[in-house]
Amino acid sequence: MSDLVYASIVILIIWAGIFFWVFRLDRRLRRLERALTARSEQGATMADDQSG
Amino acid sequence: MPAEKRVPAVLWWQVLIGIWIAVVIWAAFNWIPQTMNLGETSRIAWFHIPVAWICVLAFGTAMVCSIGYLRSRRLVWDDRAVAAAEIGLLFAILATISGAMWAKRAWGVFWNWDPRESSIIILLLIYGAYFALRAAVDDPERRAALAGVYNILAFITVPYLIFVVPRIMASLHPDPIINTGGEGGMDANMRMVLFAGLIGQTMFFFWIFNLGTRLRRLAREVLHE
Repeated sequence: MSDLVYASIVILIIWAGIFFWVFRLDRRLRRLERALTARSEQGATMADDQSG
Repeated sequence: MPAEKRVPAVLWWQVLIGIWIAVVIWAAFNWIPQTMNLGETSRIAWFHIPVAWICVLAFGTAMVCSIGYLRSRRLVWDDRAVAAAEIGLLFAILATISGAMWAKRAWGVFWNWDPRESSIIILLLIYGAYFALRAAVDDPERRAALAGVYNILAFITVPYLIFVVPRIMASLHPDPIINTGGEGGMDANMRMVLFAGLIGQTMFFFWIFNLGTRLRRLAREVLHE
């Protein structure tokens, strides 16, 4: 294999690392957003029950 | 297929971005020839140019979001402005590093205060000051307003520093690589890889911009509780 192929493999590995890091961050953030939304909805329902 | 089992469209976009940029990387090294007068080191241009483009796009987006905040006074616009400015600063640093790596091979030194290098340093200092200003003000509304005005003024310098200064002063920066009328003009395949790189990096920018905005909004909401 030529030097260019080796160089492209190194850059591809770095890109794969960046991509999966961003991808996982996106998943974790989505889960947190869902949890926060569920918690605020639950709080709103409890407040409604108490006032009713 | 039930709705909850369906793969969301955003996931397809993310996978497309991953594969797109991987193909551009492979093509930049293994498909297109080296540029006539710059040798194998010219291949760094297929990353350096899209990274520099994202730097301008991100700073422009930050300015638009700052205008959005000053018009609406909604902090979500400030979240967007900060996220874009952070990406802009990161990509300006990447453009500086990739440029310096190329300069080492082509000119023998990492840094020689070429007008292009000097202008990017000034740009880094201007946007570094933006974050210093933000760190100095505690009140979120006041911080967003001050930073918003600064952001608009900062972006006015971007076209001048990136496009005008290197052209009105004698520079060693290889413009002919993107100037088809110059001696190192690009062939059709090179142009295709360059534009594919610009499109791929632009898609990636919008992904991380969305991520940065959501992260800031979430942090603000959690801190307010």
